[in-house]
Amino acid sequence: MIKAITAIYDTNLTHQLWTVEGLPWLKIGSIIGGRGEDYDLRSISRNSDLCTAFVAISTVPGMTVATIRTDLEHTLDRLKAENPGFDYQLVHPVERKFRTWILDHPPMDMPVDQDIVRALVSGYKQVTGHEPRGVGPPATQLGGRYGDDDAHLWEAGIPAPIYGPSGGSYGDDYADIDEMVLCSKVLALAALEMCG
Amino acid sequence: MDPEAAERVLQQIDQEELVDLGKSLVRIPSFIGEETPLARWVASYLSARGYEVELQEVERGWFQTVATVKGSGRDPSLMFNGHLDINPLALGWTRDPFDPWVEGNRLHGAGIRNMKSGVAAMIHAAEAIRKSGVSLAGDLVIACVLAELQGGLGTKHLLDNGYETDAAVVTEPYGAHHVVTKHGGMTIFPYISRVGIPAETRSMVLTPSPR
Repeated sequence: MIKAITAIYDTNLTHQLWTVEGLPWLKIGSIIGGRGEDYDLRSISRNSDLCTAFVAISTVPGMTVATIRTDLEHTLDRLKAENPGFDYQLVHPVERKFRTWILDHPPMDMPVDQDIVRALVSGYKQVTGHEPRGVGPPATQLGGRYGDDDAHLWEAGIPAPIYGPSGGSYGDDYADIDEMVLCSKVLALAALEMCG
Repeated sequence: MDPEAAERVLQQIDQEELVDLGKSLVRIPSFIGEETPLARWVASYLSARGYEVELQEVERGWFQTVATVKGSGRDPSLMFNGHLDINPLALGWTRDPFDPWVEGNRLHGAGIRNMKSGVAAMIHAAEAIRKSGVSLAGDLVIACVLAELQGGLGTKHLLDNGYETDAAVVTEPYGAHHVVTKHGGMTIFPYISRVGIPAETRSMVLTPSPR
């Protein structure tokens, strides 16, 4: 498994260059192993038999399940050839028993010249007296790595920018109260602008 | 936009009320698959204030909340969209995560960052409009969806059931000083490694561990 994880991290993901920095990005954030086919948690095994790693891939436009599978298989088949007795499966979509990621979020790439974007920017300027710090990609590379429901809405033909308060997490999770207040004001003004 | 109407709406934004709403959302745990009690609470909160509310059963016994402020005319419709499901608790909590508290400019509590603060902000924005008495010509939809952390099952269900507004704002925690229109997608592949096990030890795989 350790060799496989290293190989997965070293996989060259086929993609085209994009304006959001730091993508594509791959991370294994969760591993379940030594629990048999049913992931039985009632005991501790002395022999590892089967191990499942959840490989999360932040995608850019053009990447598909098929391209990702091909890239991972290319790496893992080479490992298999070098290690008799080792076998693997790539499962997609995620089985429901894992209670995670039933669907994929596609990448989001919406032009900024949408009325709703203009309405948010206008509301922000009205409340703060200045332009937003950014319109387009997120402020940080980390922010660009997560799929969100805006992409489903945009795929359905609904312009759907993200605008919401931030904070911090990983221990005593918090939101900034002044950002919550600012967002409420800007959202209200954007609704007045859009809906009359 | 009518400046007088805008001013009346902004006057209704109340920090204390907004924070209290955020706290109420935190107090009801809503881990993935367990959003229904919070969906019911949000439905009750909005129904009591005169919104047209639908509790949508996405799967048997699994609900999300959609409220609508009906517009008086034919202007474009807008959706505020936020998810009720929260991530598993990370390490490092120093207090009860479901008993929210304020410290300085920070509202603490389980799931407040991703994204009960955004849900509170969008509901409070709709409330500010309602309380101001300003009427909208287009519909305003408040969608408090489930399973965003499972890839967006709730929003997909919403779209499949006719909630197709002219525009939307998703109040994810990307920050109040940025409007985000592009970012990566997310695909998850469970990778299963099968290690060959000698036949004579195979029966030991699920035996209890030695003390």
